[in-house]
Amino acid sequence: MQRYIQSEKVKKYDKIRTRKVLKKRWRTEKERQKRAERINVGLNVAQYVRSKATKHFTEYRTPENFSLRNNVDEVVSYFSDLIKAFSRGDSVFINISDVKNISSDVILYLLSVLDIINQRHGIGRAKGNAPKDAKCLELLMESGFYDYVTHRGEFRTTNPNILRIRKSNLVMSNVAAEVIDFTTTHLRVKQSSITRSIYNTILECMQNTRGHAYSNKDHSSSQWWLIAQHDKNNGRVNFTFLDNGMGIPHTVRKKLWEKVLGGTDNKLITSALQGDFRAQSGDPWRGKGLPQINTYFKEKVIENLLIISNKGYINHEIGSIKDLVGFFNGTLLSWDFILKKERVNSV
Amino acid sequence: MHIINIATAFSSKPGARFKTDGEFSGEQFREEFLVPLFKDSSDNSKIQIILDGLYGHPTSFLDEAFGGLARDYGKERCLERFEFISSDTPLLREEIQNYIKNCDEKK
Repeated sequence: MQRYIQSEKVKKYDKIRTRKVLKKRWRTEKERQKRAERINVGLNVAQYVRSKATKHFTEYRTPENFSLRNNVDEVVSYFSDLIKAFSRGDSVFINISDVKNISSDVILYLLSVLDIINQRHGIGRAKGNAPKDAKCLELLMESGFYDYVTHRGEFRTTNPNILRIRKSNLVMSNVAAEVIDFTTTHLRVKQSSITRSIYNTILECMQNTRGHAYSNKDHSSSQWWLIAQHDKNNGRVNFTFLDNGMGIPHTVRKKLWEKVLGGTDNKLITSALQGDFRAQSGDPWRGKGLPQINTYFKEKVIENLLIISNKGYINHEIGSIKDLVGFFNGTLLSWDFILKKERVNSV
Repeated sequence: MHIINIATAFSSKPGARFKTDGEFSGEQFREEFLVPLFKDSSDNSKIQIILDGLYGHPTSFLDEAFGGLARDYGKERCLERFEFISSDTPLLREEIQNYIKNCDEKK
């Protein structure tokens, strides 16, 4: 017996047990301290966990109306602050909990900004939460937003009324075709000259991103983002296309007086839409994409056209053309395809 | 007479301007289907291009395919040889002819 107690095996066991007991005591003490700290500052367990997780993060509370289409000034200014914070080297907590309205244009812009931040400053510099509002939460989840931010680059959507978000640095004709199939299926229309116009519009947007939107010839960073959403109640499909390039006012060929005096951004965009000779390459056969989009709008093939690029803002839905106070990083185009009687045709 | 149905021979999803931009580009179509028909300078046979059955007709694709060809082989020859068929978008014929006519006007 004596020999057994003093054996190496027992000594080893005693050592482990002592370590475990000490560890348990330390853990209990830590828990007690945490509880006391939490009670002192008056937080419940969830609030306390959140406050610890975001201790070194600066909080940025999003506007309640988080939509570029309906609340452009506040939203652009919010993003400007966010980008400035990242540039300063801050870590940011995006508090989205009080949002009452969110639109797909903002989802794309937020994703693209986060993507740039991850590329430039590394992963983990941004954290966020979820909206309390059920509808906003539903849109964020169904657009694949949370899948993307948590699974890094993978979009999945469970809602058949939303075409999952796409991004690429290439001109993807199969994506444009998929958007047309999505539209014809949901609105029960046949392929026609109208759906071909939508296909052309999307292709031209992709081509513009590829050709003009970015200064460097390294196309790996020249991304475009696309989302399509079917609004069953109003019989329409909304398309939003975004790139984070230099923006239309920066990339169009400027006239001499514009170079000297500086034309306003909304006027430069309007001029490019009207087909004034603006192709950056100097080739007259280039730069036809924007005028073509404008023609489709005039012919009412597409409606509610919205263009935001740098400081320029053109919203045909509410008839507003102006220069923004804040700066929009890139170009956003959004438009609706509305089901009309003459377009109805069983597939 | 040569007949090229873009949708069946090439793709129903015409894409970018250049091959480096993405799949089914105007440059690719020009090099694979049009240039071989223009290499023989004495060949002036008609070429019928069928544009039906496509998802769309992107400007960049059409301009690079047909305008690009005219830049290399002359607009007169292209205008003479091509015949465009589009039963549902009749204005397309005129549009492509304009790409050919305006192909080399450098400002």
